[in-house]
Formats: sequence, structure tokens, C-alpha cells
Amino acid sequence: MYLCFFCPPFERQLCLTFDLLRDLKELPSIYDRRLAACGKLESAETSLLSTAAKLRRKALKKANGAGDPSPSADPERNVALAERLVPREKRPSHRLPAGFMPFSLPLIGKKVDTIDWCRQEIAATTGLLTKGRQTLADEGLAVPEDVNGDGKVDKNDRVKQTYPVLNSAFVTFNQQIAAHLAVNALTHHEPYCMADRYLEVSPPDVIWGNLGLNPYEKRIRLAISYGATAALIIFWAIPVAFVGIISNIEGLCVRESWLAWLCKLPSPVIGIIQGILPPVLLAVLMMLLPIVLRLFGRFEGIPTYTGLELSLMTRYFIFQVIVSISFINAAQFCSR
Amino acid sequence: MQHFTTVRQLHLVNPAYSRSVQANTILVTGIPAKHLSEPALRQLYSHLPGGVKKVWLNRCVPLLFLSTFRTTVVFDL
Repeated sequence: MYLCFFCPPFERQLCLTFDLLRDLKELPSIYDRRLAACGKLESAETSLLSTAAKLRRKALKKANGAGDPSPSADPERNVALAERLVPREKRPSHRLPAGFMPFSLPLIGKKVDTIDWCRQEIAATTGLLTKGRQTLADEGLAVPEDVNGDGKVDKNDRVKQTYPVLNSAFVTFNQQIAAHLAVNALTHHEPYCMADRYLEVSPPDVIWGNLGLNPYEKRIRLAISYGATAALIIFWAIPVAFVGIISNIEGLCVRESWLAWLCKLPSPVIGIIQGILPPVLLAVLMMLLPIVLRLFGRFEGIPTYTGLELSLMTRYFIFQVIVSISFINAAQFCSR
Repeated sequence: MQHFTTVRQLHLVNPAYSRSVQANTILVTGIPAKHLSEPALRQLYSHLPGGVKKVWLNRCVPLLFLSTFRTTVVFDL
């Protein structure tokens, strides 16, 4: 599925690449699982080595009193030695998530030896990935034909495959101008068919999960995501107003009788609540906003990270205009 | 704004960049089933300057190769 840039430079000038994208179903998640297991194994091995080094240094100190291990006998060079040095109960371990939960909790769930578990997990996922890739290579790509004989080629004619082709493709042209022309020209007469074309795509920039969306579905997602953005912007005013109230505790405890206890607090506490808390809370709120808006953009079906950032800019601009200008002006007007 | 446009154009027409694969690659989405094959797409874009010299499909996954390499390294620790 990945766009391959391995063609030699002299050929690259002449070639036109097509990459039809396929629905890989569970393969990406297996791949993610393997990547996570690799990272976990690496950190577990490192912590095992550091424990081994510590134990060894202690043992040497006890043995000859001097305690400066010669670098040639460095346990970090030898994992087998490290595994012999570290007792079973001191090896790194973690807990598996119990039952249906997606994450593990500190006390519930089966406790496993991290290194052994990671090795098993990596082996298992590698097996699954190899099998999936083999299926992918065996099936090849079929040319769509009018299989069911209804006079037109549509998605009902698709050959049943384990990993069907997605409805998007990467096209590499010989000349740059061809790429720009292809992006700007109307390609298909039917509405929304091949309507979304993107220039200058590169593999690290692509959001692979958003490549197989139906164009109509994409429009609906656009509407939903902007609706959610509007709702978020309006309801964001509530925490912002709360922060504003906090910053004026002294006025608050005079005006509201049930909050009179606030004035009886020692003055450093009031100072902290009034002085430090509001800016921190506001900063946290403003930090969370781009994360949420980026999630909305991804939900919308934007297939590149650059496009995602641009959509974030648009949404953030709308937010700034509405919250920073309108709400604050309205608040000032009301307080007059 | 005018400065930005000029700089962007200069970057785009820079020979080193315009030869790169990224500059010549587009992503097309929402392709109907009829065009969802390599010959059909090649035919569709055949009128554009440059011409078609070679077409191939592939599903190679460089990242996965990297991961395999990394796995072997981790095993050798």
C-alpha cells in the first residue's frame, strides 16, 4: 500500500507510477501492536541492563572493597550475562489489561515478564503480518470488468478479495506541469467523483486511514465536524467564564453570601487562586483546543497532515474571532 | 502576500525540487469503480504532457522493512 520511491533516478524521469490503495483491514493495527511491543522490549532490556550493572557493581564492591569494575567485564555488552545476574523477581514486568479494558490498571490483570511477553508478541505479530503480506502478493490487482452483466462497471462488479482496492490512487507524472494540470482540471463528469485531488503528497505526510472514504460520506463528515466545532466553540465559553470568575474572588465573596467563606481563607491561598490558577487554567484550555480541533479535522477525512494543520488554522481562527473578540466584548458590555 | 507567492513559485520551479517524486505526485480520491485500475487511470491521464513510459503497481512497505530491521536489532541486544 505504501508508495514506493525505489525507482532509480534515470528511470524516475520517465516513469509514471500508479498506486491503487487497498483496504488493509486489521494489518495496520497489527503493525502498531508490533511497534509498541518493540518499544516496550527495548526499554525493558535497557532497564534489565541497568539493574544488572547496579547489582554487579554492588557485588564487586562487596568482594574487593575497591569497587571499580573493569570495562572489559561490562555487563552491558552481554545480555545473557545480564539475564543471569538479575534474579527473576527483579526483571521488568507489567500487567496485561484485564478483560475488555483497552488499557492496563496497576493492580488488576495478569502480571507478565515484559521481555518474554514482548518477544512472544513480536513473533506472533510478525507471523500475522507475513501471512497478510503473502495474501496481498498472491491476490494481485484485478482490472474491473462488467462481471454481473448489468451494462455498467460499478462497485458490485468488484472481485471479492481479502484486501480490496480503496477508491483512491497515487499518480506520479513525468513532468511537474502534468501533476498541476491533473489537479486543476475537472476529471470526471459525475458530482464528487475524483473531485478531491491533492498535490505534493509524500508518504510521511499521508493519513492512511482517511484514504478510502466515499466522497458523499466525506461531505457529511465535513458538515458534522464543522457542527461539532461550532458547538465546541460555544461551549468553550463556559470554562473560560469559570476561569474569569475565579480571577475575581474578592468581589465574588462580597457579592455572594454562600461564598463568604472564601474571604476567610489565608491571603496566600487567595493569592494563589486569584493569581496563578486562572492563567494556568486558561493556558491548559488553550492547549487542549488544537488537539480537539485536530481530531475533528481527522474525522472530517482530510488525507494529509499538512491539510489537517491548515484546517486547524481555519477552525482556530474562527474560535479566536468568536471567543476572544465577541465574547469578551459582550462580557464587557454586560458588566457596564 | 506577493513576496510569499514569488517565493513559492521559485521553490516550485527549482529544478532540484521539480524533479522530485513529491512534486510530480498527486493523490486522487473518490475514484469510481470503472476507473479503479492502472490501465484506466493511465488512459485517463494520457493527454497530459509527459507521456507514459512505465506503469507499475506495488504494495511495498518501506516502513515495515525498517521495522523488521529494528526487530532483528532488538533481538540481537
